[in-house]
Amino acid sequence: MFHNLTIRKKLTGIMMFTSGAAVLLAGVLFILFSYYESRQEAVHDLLGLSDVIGRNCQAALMFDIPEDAEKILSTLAAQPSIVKACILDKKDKIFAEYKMNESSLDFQSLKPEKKSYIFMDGSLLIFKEIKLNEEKIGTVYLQDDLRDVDAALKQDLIVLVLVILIALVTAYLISTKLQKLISHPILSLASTAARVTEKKDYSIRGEKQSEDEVGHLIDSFNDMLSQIQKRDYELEKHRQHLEDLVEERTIRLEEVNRDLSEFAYIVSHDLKAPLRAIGQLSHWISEDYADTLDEEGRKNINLLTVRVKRMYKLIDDILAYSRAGRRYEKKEPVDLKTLTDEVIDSLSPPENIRINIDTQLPVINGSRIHFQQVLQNLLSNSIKFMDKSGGVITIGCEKQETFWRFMIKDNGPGIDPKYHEKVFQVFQTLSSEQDNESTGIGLSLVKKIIELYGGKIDLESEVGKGCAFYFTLPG
Amino acid sequence: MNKYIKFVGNNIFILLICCLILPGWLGLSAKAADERRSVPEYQIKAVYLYNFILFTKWPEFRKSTGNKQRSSDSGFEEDKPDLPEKHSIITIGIVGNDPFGEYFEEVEGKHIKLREKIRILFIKRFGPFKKDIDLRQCQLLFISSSEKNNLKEILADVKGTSILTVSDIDGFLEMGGMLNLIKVKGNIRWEINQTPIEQAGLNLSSQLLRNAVRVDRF
Repeated sequence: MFHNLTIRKKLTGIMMFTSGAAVLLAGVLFILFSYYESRQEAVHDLLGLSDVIGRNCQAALMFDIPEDAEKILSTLAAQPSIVKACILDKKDKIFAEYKMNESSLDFQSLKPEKKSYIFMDGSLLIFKEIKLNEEKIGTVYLQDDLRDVDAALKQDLIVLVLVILIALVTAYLISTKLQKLISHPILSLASTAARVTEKKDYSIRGEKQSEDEVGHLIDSFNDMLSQIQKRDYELEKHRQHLEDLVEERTIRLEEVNRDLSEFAYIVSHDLKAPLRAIGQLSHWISEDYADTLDEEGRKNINLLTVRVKRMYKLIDDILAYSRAGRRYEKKEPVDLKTLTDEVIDSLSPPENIRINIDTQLPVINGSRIHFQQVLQNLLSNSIKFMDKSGGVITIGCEKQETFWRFMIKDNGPGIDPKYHEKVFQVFQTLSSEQDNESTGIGLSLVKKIIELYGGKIDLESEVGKGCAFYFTLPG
Repeated sequence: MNKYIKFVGNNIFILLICCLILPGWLGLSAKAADERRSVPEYQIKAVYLYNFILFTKWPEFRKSTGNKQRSSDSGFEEDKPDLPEKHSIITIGIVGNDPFGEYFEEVEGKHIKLREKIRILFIKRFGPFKKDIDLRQCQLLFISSSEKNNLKEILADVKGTSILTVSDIDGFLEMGGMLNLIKVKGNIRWEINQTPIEQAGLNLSSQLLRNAVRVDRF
């Protein structure tokens, strides 16, 4: 319970408890002392009184005049706390008595051996010997019910309770003021720490108010904050430096990349003009000198024309490849269904190949030319390498979370798994050059475009059974 | 059941005690009352004389109020040669026929503390009054009723001294005596004449005065 209280309440409580306990202890001791004192005082007073009575009763005892003793005892009426009084003769027989009917206490048997008084049942019994000529001639017996002592005790208790109440109230008022001396620095440190944590602001500092342990604690706290701040600053410096470095490198890389693309574009473009001239010249030669050329000559001229065409295509592909990396084409919604139909039309596949479109193809935002290049390259590859009489090419598509996953699958010769990585690299063809007109650029261009849109491309294949390309585009 | 037995037991016990003690006590108290009544008058008076000494203050204690010659003649000094010097005596004198007999035996030789000094009580029996008796040897003089006729002379003889005069002769006070013992309802009481007491420089306790039947001045 106590552990969960606030520091203010704890401090106040401790002070209240301490002062309360001290006052209570002091009060109880005081009351015990005062009670003892007032009892002793009562003994003293009554012994004095009984001495006076005894001296006055000497003649009554000596001359055997009980009436005189009774008269003397009757003066005790002025003292109501004395409930019983009597004079005993020297043989301890009752000689004269006063108020003796009220109690049946057999006081004569209670007489103590040495003392002349005894406390019994809340009463004080006095046995004072009467002496004359150094001889005991009788005894005064008094019984006091101690009502004065009780009244004094009661009064003392009331005073004590009042004093304790006043002391506690005072202690409370003082302790609520004084506890701030200790609690305020601690609480202000706590709130500072909370503020630092909440705002993550390490420039805040605790305010030192004293040179005690709390003061040292605040000093240490501030030192800690300074160290954190310094470390943060250095970290920030390093981070900034790193960012700058990365940015610098990126810019340089981009420059190099752009230069390369630019170079490839320019080279391809510039190569086209002389190639076109060579093509033109070989055409002219084959027409103008058709009669003069022998069989061997015509064959070579034809070969030249084929090679020029191939060279032309190669340069076109390189141009397309470099263009794909250079910039985004204009973006527009492209209906892939229509586009696929157009591409299949332009490829005019032979009779033995059937192309199936399994599912509804979506409309995707992007460049029409890019999508066309992707479809054209993949489909033309499948058609080109088809080695079966009943060729089937399947086009499929499905929505996956935020993107579309497309599939183009054939039942052609397939690709050996060891070439799966290689096929996407530039100028890599798997078949011999004489076989076909492939330039080794097609699949790398497809990969480049797909990655340009944030997609991925991979393939599954088994040699002799066919091959499936999968690629994703954002939906 | 237990309670009942206990109750009966207790009561039987109390009853037994009552049976044993009550008659004894009653008998005793009756006996005491009887005794008081049956005690001879002069035995009581002897005690009274002794008591009067205890309640009286003498102005100063002279070993002998008269001349040395007379006191040395008395043989009084011879009675106590073995007493240490610091001790002195206080004397009750009886003039006339001695009515007390052996009643003083109990108190004679008793130590009495007067003015912070221990004194030994002596009883001096002068016998019938004669001119040559030195009554001044005593501090309290009891005049026996046999000296009724010599009363005037005896009182004249002790006048000017601080002797307390006591008697039981009618009209003692009127004659100039100090303390007279009388009988009241079967009890012995006394009456006091203040004038000679004051003249003698005696100081009687207020308790004596208070309990006197009569305090007068003659």
